[in-house]
Amino acid sequence: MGVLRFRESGPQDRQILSERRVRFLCFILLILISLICLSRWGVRHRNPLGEALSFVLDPLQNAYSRWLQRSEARVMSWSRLIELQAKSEQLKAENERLRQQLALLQNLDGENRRLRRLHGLSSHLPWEALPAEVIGKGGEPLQTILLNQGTLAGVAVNQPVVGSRGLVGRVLAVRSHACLVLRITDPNSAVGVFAAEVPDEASGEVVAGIVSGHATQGLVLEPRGGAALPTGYPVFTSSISTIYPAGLLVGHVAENLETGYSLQRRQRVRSAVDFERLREVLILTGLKREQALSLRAQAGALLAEPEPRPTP
Amino acid sequence: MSVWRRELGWILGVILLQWWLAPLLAWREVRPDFVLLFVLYIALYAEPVHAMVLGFALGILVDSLTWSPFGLNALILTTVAFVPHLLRSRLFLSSVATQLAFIVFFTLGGTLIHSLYSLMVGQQTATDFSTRIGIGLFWNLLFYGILFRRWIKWLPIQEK
Repeated sequence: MGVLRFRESGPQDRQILSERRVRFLCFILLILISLICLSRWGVRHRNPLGEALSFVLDPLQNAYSRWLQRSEARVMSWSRLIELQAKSEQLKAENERLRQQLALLQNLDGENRRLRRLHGLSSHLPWEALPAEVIGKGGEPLQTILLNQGTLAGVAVNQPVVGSRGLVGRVLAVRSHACLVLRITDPNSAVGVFAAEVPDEASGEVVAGIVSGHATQGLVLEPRGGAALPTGYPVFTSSISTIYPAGLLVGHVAENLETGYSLQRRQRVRSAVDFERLREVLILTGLKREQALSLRAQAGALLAEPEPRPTP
Repeated sequence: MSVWRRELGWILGVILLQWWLAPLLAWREVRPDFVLLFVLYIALYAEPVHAMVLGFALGILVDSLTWSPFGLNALILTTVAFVPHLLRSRLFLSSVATQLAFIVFFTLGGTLIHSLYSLMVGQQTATDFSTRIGIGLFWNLLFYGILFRRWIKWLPIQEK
């Protein structure tokens, strides 16, 4: 019917119809291109245009963030000069105390290494830490922070990120000059943990569990066996975690959460990191290269050795 | 030529707002969508093909700048630019009520598409759906009122 009407109508109507067709075709074409982009680069957070823009804009954002921090520090320095002097004295005393503790710990570390060697255990794997600055937030409806180090500095997806007080999260996406970090408080984050007074999983009183991010509660702990932990009890990353190294402080138990179904006890954990004031972090980029190579060589040598024959 | 220059200025301004100001205003990880408001405005007053191409280009740019899934904002903004054209003969697009209704509709639609995408890739959003819609509506209505109603004579396309 529509076709008949079109045939009967004049050139003006024909022009209107052709304009409509052009608009509709344009819409379909653009939607198709969007869907192709989404399926090709959507999930991996990497796309050619973003990479190109990253080369120009991330250093700019980095410079802006530094300028902002510097000007903020300048304002703070004028207003809090007297307060800082008092704090400086306190810090000097604390520094002295920490130095003494460090000497003690170095002694213990040496002893630990000797004993491990004596028992034929391999030494703990060292992590190389890359310092990075927080320069912004990501664009997705996720709890993320943006750091000023990217693939050029050796950053890769899933590397753990720690702050001076504890665990921050893991790298979610990387570009040449920047990376996006998923905070542990995001609902997509979960980490195997243990709760104990000291960050040693082998000590007696240890409660294992899982800490996951929550949209409103921040961090929620589900202790294994339904054990109730007292308020203020520290929670550390466990060695069962495949991403995070063991013994990093995650937070402290804050309160019990009321659950509708009392099958699993849940407790709110207050994160050790204040994300609003976070400025500098460390990205744990993995094993040191030389040590990794030597470990690989050791493993290769072990594999090359012939297995001893069983005695009859 | 002057209209083009003004439009280019607005595009740069809107991109800057989305890249720099929107993260600062984020409230429970929900931020105002300046680009959506601008594309909607252009869709109401300009040629549909022009609005669609602009929406697509801005969407791709925003996806590249803000680490969101590449192509998702382009998909949403192209649709935002096309839908008002479909209703052009049935609604008074220049009336405030229609424009507010469009903002509500597109904020809901955009949030729904983002949520569906998150669901498809197995990702949870940082805030629940109703909170995102509530805060998103607040921001978008507020900034549409501030940016696109009050200073209408400074916008690239004059009201018909």
